[in-house]
Amino acid sequence: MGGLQIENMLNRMEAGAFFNQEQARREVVDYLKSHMSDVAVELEKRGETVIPTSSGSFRLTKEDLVTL
Amino acid sequence: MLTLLVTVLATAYFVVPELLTRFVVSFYFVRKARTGTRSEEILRASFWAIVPLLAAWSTRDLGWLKAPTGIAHHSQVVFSALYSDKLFEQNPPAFYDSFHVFAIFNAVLLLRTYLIVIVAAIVFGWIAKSLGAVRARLKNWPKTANLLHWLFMPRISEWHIALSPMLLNSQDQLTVRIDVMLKTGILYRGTVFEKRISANGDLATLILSDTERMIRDEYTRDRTAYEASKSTNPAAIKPDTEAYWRKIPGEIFLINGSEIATVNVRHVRPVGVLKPREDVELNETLLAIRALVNTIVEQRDVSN
Repeated sequence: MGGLQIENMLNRMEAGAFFNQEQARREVVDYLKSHMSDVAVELEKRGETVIPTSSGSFRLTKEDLVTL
Repeated sequence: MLTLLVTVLATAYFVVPELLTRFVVSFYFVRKARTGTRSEEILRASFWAIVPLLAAWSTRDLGWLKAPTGIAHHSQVVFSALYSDKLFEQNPPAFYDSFHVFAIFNAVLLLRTYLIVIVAAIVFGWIAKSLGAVRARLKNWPKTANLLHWLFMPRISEWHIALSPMLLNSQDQLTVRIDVMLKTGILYRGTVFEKRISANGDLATLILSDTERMIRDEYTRDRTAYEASKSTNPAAIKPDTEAYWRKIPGEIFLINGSEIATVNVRHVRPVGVLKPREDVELNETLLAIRALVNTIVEQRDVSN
């Protein structure tokens, strides 16, 4: 753990806390469209799926499909 | 007897507050394992002993459990009698009377000191636990944020900082997911359920929930085949890493810290933060997935 610098970690976390919503939406839509059947199967099986984007990961749950 | 009394008082006033602090903050975060120099240890113990003691002393006549008065006289009688048998034998009832007041005074003072220590430790622990949110609120006061950073960061285990959501400013919205690569080359991913830090600050054990293992051999084989064929076969499909994860049955999965080679930490947001209703395309895509999920459920029910 010697190389882990807390200040750098904090800065990276804080930088990651802000993201471009439009770009993230675009990437989520692209991912969902290209993996639609896999995502549906995973949601049915596990109840949730994680969508990777350049702005970080987004969690989609089965409940989100009803409530969002 | 005098040595015994001094030892008991020194322990009660100087050792117990530090131990009490460690005990209370352990409910909020994992302390950093470090052994300071003797002077650092004494300074730290003195801080947690003297500051609350001064606060308790200055408020000893306020509220409930007021300290008895005339403690200087009673202390003199007690210490003199314990120091010299001759002085004790001159007037034993006076010693017992004074000892009674002396004991009550110290009990009251210690009780107040411990209460102050507990309250201070709770406040310290709460700020440390929500440091991300506190720092976010202090964005316009960088000096205060830096002071908090200086006060808290050196006292918290790096592993706790990395593997808990304490530094996130929206802990309700973000969850911590990790990828763990073992020295044997096996890759796991999941949610941190629990962790244990050893006395020397290393990660002793890591317990994950919703754990998945990656079938790396199959992925490497397919990826190699794809790389080899993509120049000659434009229709070749790049392997999707998500397809190579396999869920591990069981509630929790324990990994020995000494077997871990690397840890990748990811902070996952819910899709809700993207406000899908405000984006027609995203909303329609989610509706299409919802319809697909319903179809899968119906097909499963029919086949059952």
